[in-house]
Amino acid sequence: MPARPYIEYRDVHVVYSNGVKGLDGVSLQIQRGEFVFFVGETGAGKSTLLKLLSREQHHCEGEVRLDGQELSDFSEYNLHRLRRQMGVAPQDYDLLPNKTVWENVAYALRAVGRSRREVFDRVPKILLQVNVAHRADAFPSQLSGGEKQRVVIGRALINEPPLLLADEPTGNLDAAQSEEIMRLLADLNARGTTVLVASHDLPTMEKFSKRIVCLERGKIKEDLGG
Amino acid sequence: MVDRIAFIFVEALQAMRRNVTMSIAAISTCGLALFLLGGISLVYVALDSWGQSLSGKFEMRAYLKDGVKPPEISKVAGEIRSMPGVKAVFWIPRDKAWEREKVKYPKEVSQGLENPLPDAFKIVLSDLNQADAVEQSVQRLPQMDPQNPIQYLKAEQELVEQSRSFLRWLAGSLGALLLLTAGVLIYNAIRMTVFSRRKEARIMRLVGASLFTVRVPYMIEGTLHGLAGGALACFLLWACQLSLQNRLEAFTALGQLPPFPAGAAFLVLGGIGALYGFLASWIALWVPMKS
Repeated sequence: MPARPYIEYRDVHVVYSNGVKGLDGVSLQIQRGEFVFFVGETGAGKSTLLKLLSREQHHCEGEVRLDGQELSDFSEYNLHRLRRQMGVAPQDYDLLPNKTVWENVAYALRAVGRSRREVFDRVPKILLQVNVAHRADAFPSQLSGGEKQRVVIGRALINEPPLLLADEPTGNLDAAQSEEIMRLLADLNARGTTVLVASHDLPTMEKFSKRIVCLERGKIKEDLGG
Repeated sequence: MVDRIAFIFVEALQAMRRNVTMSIAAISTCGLALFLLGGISLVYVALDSWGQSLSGKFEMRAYLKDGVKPPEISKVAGEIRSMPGVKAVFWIPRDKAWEREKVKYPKEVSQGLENPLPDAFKIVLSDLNQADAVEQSVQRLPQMDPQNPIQYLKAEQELVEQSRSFLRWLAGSLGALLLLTAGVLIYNAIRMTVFSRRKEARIMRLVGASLFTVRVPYMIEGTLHGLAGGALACFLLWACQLSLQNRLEAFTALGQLPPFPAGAAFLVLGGIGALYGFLASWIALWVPMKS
């Protein structure tokens, strides 16, 4: 008997408020511990697949399940329970410009109710884990694109989540930095974290033999196992 | 827990510091509204107590029929005294009244003229609103002379009552209007804070902060706006009272103003302001957060 999928999209349809179809009957299963790339042109639906999981986007039809639980069951008031099961690295970084690297990560920890003592204990470890400890006192404006992305990934790890969603993590990076970020994600995956990455950076992806799901106009065009 | 509360308060204070202009606008308008409301209320209370004291100065004269005996007069006086709105009743015997008239108008009231005055009651009112009812009730008593209607300053009493009603209306409508303006400003201040801190809010939500943690700092901010407005209003009222008192000291005849109830004023105005700020911020949060 096959194991219950960790993440399951079942005939998912998404239509945006302007009438554009975001996803058109997508069905997909992802097992715990997998590393999956979602690939496609702009508007293909790769970011939408991630946002459905973090509930930044609602689906109109179908089912989206995480660890067996239908995500539309989460109301606005208990959404934080879902979000603590995953780390989200958004496309636009969303780092607070007036806070240092250390403070950005600390702020997220404080927001989820960690005490000051825990913050002082956890932040250095997280920064070491994503290799930006040496830039702890720098402000986002003083960081390179790769460093910013590391901070964002570090911030996404504050709840030690079993799932990491990264939306275009190499979008603004050169080849070397892109590879570094992908290696960081692969390391996290090797330690057991399920990693889903939306990207159109095919050259970098090809260096990592992972599962690639190709999307086109809201539909899955190809699903290539790693 | 203490850590969490500290975080939420720091968030609220940082939001106020970031939107300092809007915060000042909201606090000062709320303060002004509560100052005017509090000021009008104090003037109303003063006028009301003055009106109450004035009531005692309004008298009625009710005339008895000829031949009513003293025991019956005492009984009637007791009945009138028990009527609502009556403070005191004095019997004025016709002989005594005639003696007074003679002293008052010695030339007009020539010696030897027979006393034409009836026995009468002087009725002192405790509530001007009851004047008409008292008049009708007294006039209905069988011992009273129907040919001699009750005399009192009806027009003057009505004027005082109308003034008090107008002040009540003015305090109510002007205060409500000003509070509404303050509410709109607090609402706007919170909306602007929400807008300027949308990045923080998004990060908080993405990393798994509860809706409570995200929203409460804004509500604290709104409450603090209202509370600060109440404190400002209290200070302004105190300053006005002090200034007025200093001016009145030159006029000994006008006497002293009652002491400013600082504690009560702060509790009432601060409480109203805080509650109002809380409500305005709650309404302001509902729309953007929902969307």
